[in-house]
Amino acid sequence: MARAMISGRSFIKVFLGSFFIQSSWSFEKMQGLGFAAAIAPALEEIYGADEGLKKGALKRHLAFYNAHPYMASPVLGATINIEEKARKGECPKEAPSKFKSVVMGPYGAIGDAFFWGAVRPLASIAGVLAAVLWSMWGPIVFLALYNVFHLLMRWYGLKKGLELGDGVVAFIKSLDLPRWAVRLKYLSAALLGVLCAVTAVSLLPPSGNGAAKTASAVLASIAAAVLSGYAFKKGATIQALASVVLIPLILYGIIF
Amino acid sequence: MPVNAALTGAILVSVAGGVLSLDRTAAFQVMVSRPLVTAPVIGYLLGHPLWGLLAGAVLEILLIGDLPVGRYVPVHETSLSALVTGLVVAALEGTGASEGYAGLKSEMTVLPLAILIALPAGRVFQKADIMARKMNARLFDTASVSVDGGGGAALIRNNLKGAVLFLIANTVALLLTAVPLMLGAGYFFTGFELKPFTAAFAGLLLVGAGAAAWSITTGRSAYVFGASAAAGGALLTWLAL
Repeated sequence: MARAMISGRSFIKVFLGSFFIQSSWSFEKMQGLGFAAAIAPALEEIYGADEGLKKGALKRHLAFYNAHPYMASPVLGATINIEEKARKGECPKEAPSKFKSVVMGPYGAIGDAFFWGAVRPLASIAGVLAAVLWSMWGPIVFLALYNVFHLLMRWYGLKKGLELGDGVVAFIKSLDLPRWAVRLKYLSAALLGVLCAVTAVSLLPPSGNGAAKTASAVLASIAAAVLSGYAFKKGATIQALASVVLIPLILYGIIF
Repeated sequence: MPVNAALTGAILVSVAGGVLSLDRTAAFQVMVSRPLVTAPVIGYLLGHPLWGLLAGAVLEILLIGDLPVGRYVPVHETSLSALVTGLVVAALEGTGASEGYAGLKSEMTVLPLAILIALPAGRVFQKADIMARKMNARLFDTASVSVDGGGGAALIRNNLKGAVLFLIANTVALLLTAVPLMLGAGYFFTGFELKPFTAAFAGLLLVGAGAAAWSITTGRSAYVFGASAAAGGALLTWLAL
């Protein structure tokens, strides 16, 4: 296993910089400046006093870049590793930029599907369920659950990238994130079902907690959730659907 | 809510909402910008964390499936949560609702209307966000020039300027919407009496459940959802017997 050349101090700087990778997000270059800013401390150390090489490397990284923000960590680590090799003359100086541009598309797709598409809905549903059951623990459950996945990818992604270089691609593949995304979605679906049942029952008036009313409320909530889910699938927007449902109900509440 | 208090509240909502919005794109992404966290924080700053929590939970479920993929800029959930919480607090204080848990029943009546009023303002937040992203393109050009003189430090400086642009854009957009709407909420919600009515709130939750169900649809997840809700419902029905 290759040992990274950069110091612990530079590692921490790059790690912290990865949290700001989208600070200057633009439609043209997306995270291009953010990536260059995040990798800059490592390049400063790798190229040291050689200003010409250092500026050349900084400029090469100042280019279009777009991936999922958390998946930038393994890319950053691997790019630093390849940059070290380029410094030693073991590969062409364009190799780090080429690596970046090859992996950013797939990593963007994997990260979007896993973090935005699976982890965040799971954490949101768990957080809302916790809020219904235990009030202020809701936001804490949400943040804790979400950030376990998030921070692990930020830290170990960067570390593994530094250690493995372009071998990080195989490492990320071995994590099998798409399959985990599907599993997490099933878990989210199960939690959402519980949330629907609990919320339907908790909204019943105190006098109406009989078995028949409870069962009807749960069944009605399942049917309504499936119906509105179908409307979203058919292209309805949140604004449109919320308005269609809310306006008549609010008017009814005001008038009657 | 008196005018001065509403104005102070609106400024507080705007500044806190602007700072929390940074987490959405510009920095960290630890998700303190999600409604479930933003709304209780804003509620806490306005003296009613529980009211904020209820608003946040509903908005969280409602906006669960709106994802920032590629060039798509989704609904600005942070600013929307901050504004809705501000509106709810202004309305409930205006109507003299009870504090804490007792006030949640009144909030169920007020919240759907607050969301309905705030949703169009979401366009302002979205436009401000897009404007900041367009202005960021200039920073890239500036950084390209300044890297010769300043090296890595110049890149980091220019990158962080982008975060400042996001902060300013989000705070100003919130100020533009929160000040008139929160000042108006005091009058609007006290002008006529909303009867205790939770059907709109229930409708809102069901739309949210649909949004959540749609966002996690995969394979046979609909069966898992149905089975889990039925099992949960059966257990609760048994408990109610």
